[in-house]
Amino acid sequence: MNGRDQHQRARLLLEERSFGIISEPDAKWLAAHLDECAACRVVESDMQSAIALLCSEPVTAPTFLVSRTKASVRIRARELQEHSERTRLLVLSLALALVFTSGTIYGGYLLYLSGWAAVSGAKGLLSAFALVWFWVAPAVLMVAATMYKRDWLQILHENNFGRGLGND
Amino acid sequence: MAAALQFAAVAGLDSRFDEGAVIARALKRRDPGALDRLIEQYQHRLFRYLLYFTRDRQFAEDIFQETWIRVLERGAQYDPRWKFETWLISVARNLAIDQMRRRMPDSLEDVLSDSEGEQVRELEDANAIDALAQITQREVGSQVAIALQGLAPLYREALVLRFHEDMSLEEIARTLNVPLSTAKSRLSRGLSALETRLKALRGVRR
Repeated sequence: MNGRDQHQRARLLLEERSFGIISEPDAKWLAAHLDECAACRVVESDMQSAIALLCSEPVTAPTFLVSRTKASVRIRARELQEHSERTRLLVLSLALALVFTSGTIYGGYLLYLSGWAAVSGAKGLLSAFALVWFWVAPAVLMVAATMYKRDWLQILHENNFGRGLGND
Repeated sequence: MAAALQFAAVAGLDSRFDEGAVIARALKRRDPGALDRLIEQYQHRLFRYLLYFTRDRQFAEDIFQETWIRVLERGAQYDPRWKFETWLISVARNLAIDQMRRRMPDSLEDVLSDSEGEQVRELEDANAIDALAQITQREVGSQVAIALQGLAPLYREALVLRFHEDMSLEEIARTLNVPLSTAKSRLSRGLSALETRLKALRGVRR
């Protein structure tokens, strides 16, 4: 290896050292070369001063930005939580509606099979009422659950949210 | 949660993974208190990175805020095997690039081009105020601002991740979503360019 190659290798190894990826044999070679070569010591010094200067430069996040960000994150967290509650409620209502609707269809089918058209008087009225209730029940349950959840979220927000909902 | 984070830090549990797992659980729960603490902990690092990368203070502030909202929304995607900081900065970087793409699609090619042998050109916007230069000149009056001013964003971000944030080459490559060789090449070129500029600057001042 001629002198120029050695300087180039030293430069590459100096970089690798600063990137934290130099191998042990290379580090030994570099140390030995630096002991002998004044020109490469200058390169090393320039590189170190550039890095030191870069690291000395303090940039800090403005306080107002941090406060604003925290506030936005809290608002968004609340929105997401409410959205998730609503989604859960919707799924529950749909499941209930499915159960009641299936029951109604099945009940209707059984009535049809047992000759519903021939049934009369109080028994007929009762059947009609049951049929209507089957259809209305999911909606009633959904409204009740929504009102209950809204109250619960409101109370939670007023009393606890500001004092660190979700903190351990 | 706070106790767990502090415990992981103080007890020095091996454990990037342990700490990462605690953070991942908090993110999954969308715990606003934990988010507050993460913002406190990573505020300066994230803002510094954004300022170096974008060179626009207002833009950096916008992306800073947006990044934390994104962290809240997509916290479940964080993989605790990696440092939280690596994931955080890659989220911020992707947001910044998306915004730049919307704002100035032509110039973005300049910012992001980094193929071997291709000279990375600097974004030139005569009207843009170089916030980084303003801040650093005001705060420390250093040569760094001037030296960094002409450096390509891709080099600046590699330098800041390595020497300010003390990331390993592997973490830098992961954050920037590039192969190791590209990360190394960006660092190498950035360092050379910085040295050259600093030398020239000192020559002018003498």
